[in-house]
Amino acid sequence: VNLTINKEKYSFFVDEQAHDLPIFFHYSYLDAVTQGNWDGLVIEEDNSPIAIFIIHQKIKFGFKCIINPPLSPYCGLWVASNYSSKANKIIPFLAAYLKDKYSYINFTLHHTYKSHLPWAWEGFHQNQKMTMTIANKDSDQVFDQYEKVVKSDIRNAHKSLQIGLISDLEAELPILTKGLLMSGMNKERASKIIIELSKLPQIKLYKAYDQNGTTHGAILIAQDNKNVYNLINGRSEKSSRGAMSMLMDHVIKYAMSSEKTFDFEGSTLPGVYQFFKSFNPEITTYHQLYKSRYKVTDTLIKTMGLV
Amino acid sequence: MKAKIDKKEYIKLCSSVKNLSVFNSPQWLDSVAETWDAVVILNNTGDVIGGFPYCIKKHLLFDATSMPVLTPHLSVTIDENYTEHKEKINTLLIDQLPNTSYQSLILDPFTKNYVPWKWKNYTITTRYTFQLSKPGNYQDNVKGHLKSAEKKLKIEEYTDIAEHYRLTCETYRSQNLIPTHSFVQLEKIYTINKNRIKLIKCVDENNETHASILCVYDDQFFYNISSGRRQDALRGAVTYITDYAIKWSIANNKIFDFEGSSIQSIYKYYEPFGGDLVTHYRVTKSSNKLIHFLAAITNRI
Repeated sequence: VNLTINKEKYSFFVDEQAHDLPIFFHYSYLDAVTQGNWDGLVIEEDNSPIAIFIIHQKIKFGFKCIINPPLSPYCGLWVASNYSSKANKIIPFLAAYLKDKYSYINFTLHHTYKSHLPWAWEGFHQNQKMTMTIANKDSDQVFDQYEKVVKSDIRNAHKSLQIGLISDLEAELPILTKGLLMSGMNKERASKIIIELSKLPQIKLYKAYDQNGTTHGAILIAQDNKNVYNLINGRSEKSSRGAMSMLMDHVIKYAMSSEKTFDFEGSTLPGVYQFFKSFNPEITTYHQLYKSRYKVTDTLIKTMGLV
Repeated sequence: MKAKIDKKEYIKLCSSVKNLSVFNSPQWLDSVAETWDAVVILNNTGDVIGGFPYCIKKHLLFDATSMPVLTPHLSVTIDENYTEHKEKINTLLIDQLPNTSYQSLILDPFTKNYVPWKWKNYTITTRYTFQLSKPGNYQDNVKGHLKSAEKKLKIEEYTDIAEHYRLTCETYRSQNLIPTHSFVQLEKIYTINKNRIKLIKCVDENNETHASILCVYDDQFFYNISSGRRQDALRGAVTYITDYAIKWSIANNKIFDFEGSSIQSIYKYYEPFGGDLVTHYRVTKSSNKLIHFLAAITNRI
């Protein structure tokens, strides 16, 4: 097994695996969310790329760290579908490489990786994460499975609101950046990321607006060949009842009609969880993995929950 | 709905629910714990609709809510008419659990939604087991072990729990580990649960035992909860008994549960049997930062 940082080979792998690869691994997506500040680690066997790992490096207190890029719920390792049986064999080499080069490593695996044990055997700690998904439903019938309150909210919203694609992005930035600002990102960077993302063909931006053209809610979704992800959503302070439910229903139906899985990018925050749960999705879990190179900091990070 | 601690009501609930896990049954709990109790949920008319058993142990200066011996998991039992209120019932049950210094519970694989635990500040970690519900799609190394063992060993179901304990202790010793339970505890578990335990061993032509496993079963599952082998056991001895247990389990319409381990060597031993990898959750919580720190550095989180 040979590991090299090489964006050209990374790009070649992405093109080869585009049918399976989540959007968060795509070259253009990574460029948009990091402004080009990322690298691609390519894992080869007999000179053939069999897996990739995203290197999004940050310097924290003078230490080199790997963390997930913004708006990238799934990251880290991706093994080519025809080499999936080799995933467990790659991990010891990859873990040794990462531990050697970086002081702190923190990433979340895609939910198709069911077991975190090969990482645990290399000393990585695990934090259980969850999202909610809707799959394999008829776009006409998916509405029936929602909870009563949501159905009523959506019906109510349809009386006064319409849904359309966002054409004037600048005007909607205050609503779309809200969530990113709350997570600690500065306004300029949040706006820049959204503007860059909006240029990608895999990104769609919708808004719910009234007859005066006033926006009540907005949503940004990203899609690959298999999934539609709810990445950003926000509503105006005076939004009508059901504006967000109506938008969510719209993008869920869009995913179902495209025969893709809708991923809420679920949260365990009670309010958000209850809102998503009312659409009656399935719970899907995935793993966050983290490790510090030094024993003392590793114990501290684990002990203090500084993940 | 309201929650209260009431063992008697829990026992009543267990007698009325279908597919009760063996590990949640009062009979099992009586055998594995010195003392145990349960939180129950009552509906508005005072009927018990859910329950969760727990066991409190003293650890040095601290009291801890933890798993009883040889009990791989516990689950929230809910009356089948109230399954749609699962999340609310879980939240109420968790609220009512005694606030001990340290809590560490392993939930059954059916508990997919750990969010109510997360909301109460429990740390969630994932555990795994392998389950087989149809004839094993064994890998070549398992087939090789079976071929080798079949020639020299034969399988017997037996009742000598002392012999099983001796073999498990030999296995622990060979790995420089201390047994997790005493003979007295194992004998009590065996005596009380004889009606749903199978002890299986394999012997050579001189009637010498090479390996033994203890399985416990309920209506749905057949759990491999303890195994042991002679240090000089013939190749494939444990695999041979495991294969027998899997076949018995499938013939009796049960799912064979390896009670898989996160320990690499055990995981790699079970994996080639071709079972499905199933996740379940361990939830832990400490009452203060010192205990949290001690738990973290001793890998109990």
